[in-house]
Parts: sequence; C-alpha cells; structure tokens
Amino acid sequence: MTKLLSANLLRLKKSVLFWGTLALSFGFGVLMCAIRFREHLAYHFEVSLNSVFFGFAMVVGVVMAAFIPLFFGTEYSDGAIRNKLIVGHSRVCVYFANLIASLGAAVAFSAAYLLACIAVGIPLIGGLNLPAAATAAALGGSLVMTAAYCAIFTFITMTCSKKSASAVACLLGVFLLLAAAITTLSMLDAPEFIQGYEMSIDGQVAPAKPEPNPAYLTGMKREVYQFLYDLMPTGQGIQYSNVNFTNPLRLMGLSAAVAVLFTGAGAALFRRKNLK
Amino acid sequence: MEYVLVTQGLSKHYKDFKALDNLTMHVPKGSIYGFVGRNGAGKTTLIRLICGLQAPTGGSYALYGVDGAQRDIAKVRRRMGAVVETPSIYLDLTAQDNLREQLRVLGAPSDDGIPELLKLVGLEGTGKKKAGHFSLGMKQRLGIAVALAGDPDFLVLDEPVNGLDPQGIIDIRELILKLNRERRITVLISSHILDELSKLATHYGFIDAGRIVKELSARELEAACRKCLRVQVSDTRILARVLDGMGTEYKILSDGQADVFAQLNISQLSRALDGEGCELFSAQERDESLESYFVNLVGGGSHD
Repeated sequence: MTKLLSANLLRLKKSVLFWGTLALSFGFGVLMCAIRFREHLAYHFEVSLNSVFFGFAMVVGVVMAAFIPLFFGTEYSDGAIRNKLIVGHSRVCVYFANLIASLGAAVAFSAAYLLACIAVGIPLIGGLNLPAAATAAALGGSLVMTAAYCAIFTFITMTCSKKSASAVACLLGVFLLLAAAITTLSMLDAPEFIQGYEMSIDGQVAPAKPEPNPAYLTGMKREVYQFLYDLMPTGQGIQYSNVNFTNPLRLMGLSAAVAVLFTGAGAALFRRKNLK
Repeated sequence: MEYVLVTQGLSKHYKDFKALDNLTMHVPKGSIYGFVGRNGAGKTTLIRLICGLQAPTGGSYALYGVDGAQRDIAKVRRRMGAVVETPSIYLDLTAQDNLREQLRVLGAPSDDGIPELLKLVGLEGTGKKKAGHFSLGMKQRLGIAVALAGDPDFLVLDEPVNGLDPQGIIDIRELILKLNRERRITVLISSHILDELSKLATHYGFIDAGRIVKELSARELEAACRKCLRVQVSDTRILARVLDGMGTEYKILSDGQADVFAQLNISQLSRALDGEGCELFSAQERDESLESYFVNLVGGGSHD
C-alpha cells in the first residue's frame, strides 16, 4: 500500500488540478476575510476571525465532490488503474490508497484556507476569540467530517467507471445533501410558539398569548430530524462553520460511522467489479 | 515444454452471453504467441481475466504454474506487464513522469532505468511533452514502456498495432521482436491482423466464439499453408512409391488424395503413375495463406 500511496503522492505533486484547487482554497480564505473586513469598514460591525475561520467546513464537501472524481476518475478514463492491478496490487489496497490520498488532498485544501485566514484575516479582523477546547473540537470534528465526505465520493468514483458520470453524481449528491441539511435546519429552528398580537377596540396593539407553532418538531420526530441533521456531513458543516455545536463527540462518531460504512461497501463492490 | 500461461476450461459469462466458453490454451515460455480471432471472439476478455481485471465464471488459469485463484498469483503478476486495449497512461503527464509513476507503483528503489526504457521504445526525445499530445503510435510505445517498467518476462499486448500507420506498425513489430530475442520476454499478442502476426509469431492460438479452435506452432502452420500440388489418384500407395523414387516430399491425405511439395512435371508424373497402373485424376496447385487457413478454421460467417 505504501507503494500505491507514494504513486498517488507523485501524481498529486504533478497535478495541475491539485495545485489549482489549493490556490483556489487559499484565495477563497483571503476573499472571506476581505469581505468581513469590508463589512467592518462600511457598517462598523464587530467582526472576528470566528465567523470565517471554520468556513472551509461548509465548502470542503463541494470542493472534494469535484476533485475526487476528476482526479481519481482519470485512472478509469486513462486506464491507468489497470497498471496497478496487473502488477499484483490488491483491489482493497488500491481503494484504500485512493481514499487516503483524497483525504490528504482535502486536508491540504483546508490547510490552505486556514493559512489564508491566519495570514490575512488576523491582521485585518483580529484573531479567534474562542476557547481552545471549542477550537480543537471544531477542527477535529471537521477533519472526521471531511473523512466522511472523502469516503462517500471515493465510493462513487471507484464503483462508477465513467469519470463524467461520477463527477455529476458527486456534485449532485453534495448539493442535494446541502439542500436537505438547510431544510432540516429550518425545521429544527422553527419556534415552539408563535407570538401573535391583539388590537383593542381603541386601536392599541398588544402582544397576545403565544400560540403553539404547528410546525415545531417535538418528541421522536424532533430526535429523528436532529439525528439526520447531525448525520449529514453538510449538516455538520453548517454546525462547524458557525461554531454552533453541542456534542462534538456525537458528530465525530456519526461521521466516522458514515466513513466506515461507505468505505466497507465501496471496497466490497470494487473487489467484485469487472474492470475493462 | 514449459508454459508461462495455461488455461483450463476457462469461461466468462456476462449474463446470458458467453464471452469465453471452456477455453483451453498454452503459451510456451520464450514464444511470441499470436492470439488470433475476429472481433468479439473473446481475445480481450481472456486478457482481462489473466491480468486480474475480471474474475472467471468457470475454469482456471495458471501463470508460471501458479493458479489464478491462489494468493501467490499477486507475486507472479509482478513478472508480467500488459497493454490491454488502449495504452494505460496518464495523458496529463510526460513520458518520463508516466514511467516514474509506474516505478512508484512497483516500489522500484530508483528512477535510474527510465532513460533506458524511453530509448528502448524510441521516446527518448519527448522531453516535457504531455502524453495527451503524443501520436497514437507514441502512446502505444509509451504503454509498452510502462508495461516493461517492472522488467517483466511475460508481456501481454492486446491489438498493439490497431490504428497505427505503416511506420508505427513496423516500429512496434521491431520492438516486440527485440524484446523477445534480446530480453527473452514471452509475448502474448492478440490481433486480427493476420499478415502482421505472421511476421512475429512463433506460436498461434485461434479463437472463435470464446473457444480455442486450434493451437499450433509457426512451423506447423507454415507446413499447413505450404505451397503444394494437391493430386487425386486412384491409389496413393502407388503414388507414394513413385514419389519416393523421385525423391519428392509429400503428404498422403486419404486413399485417393495427397499433397506434393515440389514443382513437378505433370506429364512425367502422369507417365510414371500410368506405368505403375495408377490413374492421375486431377492436380491442383494450392497456396494457402494464413488468412484462408483462419477462414477455413473458423468459417466465414458474418463478423462484427
């Protein structure tokens, strides 16, 4: 497997796609800091690095949904995956080497974003004002969430022989997951009571007794929606980017479960796959 | 005889379609084995199976005596290189980087062998040109160089001259001959371009509808396709006696038919036979090409 990892690393080093995505990640970090700084200048908002530092957690999924099928799908389109199998590497090793390399690339992209926030953000909008434990939890949780993303997109890329089809499936998948997470969040955020207002005969407006909100999720239903929101990497991305999470260990556990599930299924399917 | 590859009743089915149907073949060590069959006969399927890209539905194969289902097959595969259908190269990398990448896959301790490999396949001057900008012939040669990166002693080439111009075909042919003669590499080469194969192969396997219909050496094929005079006589025993007397090479096919491998004076032969009480009914010159031999073997049905 170390031979395959070494080969993947060499390809990454030579890849225009990798260096281009790395530069874009850095540029995105600079842009986010510049936008916050501009808001501060224009509207005198109090801004801090907190609001942008974990922003990569929101976009890393989209970035990897494009990167993994384009980079590893090339092995199918150029036929180079055959060179690994013909000389005796096991399919499981090929699968895991690609998964690890994709996670390495994702970490590099996230690091480029964070580096931009540190290099540009701190001088412009100041540093992080978060407890060290929360910062560590957000960074660690984001890493496990990124592993879940990589596992899902590696699964799609390695089980689908067509590079374009896997790219479409990954991008479509991540945007559907993003829409699902936003919808779930809006349902979970619905207020328990609706504040109404009453107007008296003399025209005075006064707050009425709050009415229960029929859209408010309760009981088992709320737990299921919360579970789904926590399970989806996109849901976790929203939580980490806003540094708004209550149980990071639960989030990490769920992401780890997603990663294990997709990797197990992907490796099993790839082992049986007829390659051309 | 020592064999590099032996298959026994190998089958591969895709749903109801039998791509390989009880295929049995033997590739001798040191040979250039021409694997001949029309499109869709199962040539590429067999290559995919022995390269580990697909699993057989039934039967077995052995590489260097190691069964394909055994764990040790992974070690044996390190002794082989292959170009299956299209050259397996990264189009966004240079020739040198493609070889460097393959050496990493193989775990080679250094990249020292790259210039020699590029020279061997005639790509030493490609510099920083990406493989995507190579001609088809150059891509094919790079594919072979990648297959040779592990210094294999069994090379599998699937239709290596498909789509190449005449010079490209000559280059590949000379390369294959050089690898076989100088490096003692056994080559399995599939093709439906029979004329080209006849310039290379030392052994042949003819495949049709997923089965090997005939395996023979180039010498045997040459004998089968040799220019001869096919004669019909009333008694081939008398014919044999007469031809022995003339010191002529022949082959008796039946009681009344024989092939004579010499330029004969028909009148002289007829008179000699007549004197022994044997009638000469007909004499027909035969010059069977590899192509007609193949058509006779597999029939001339429609191809796709």
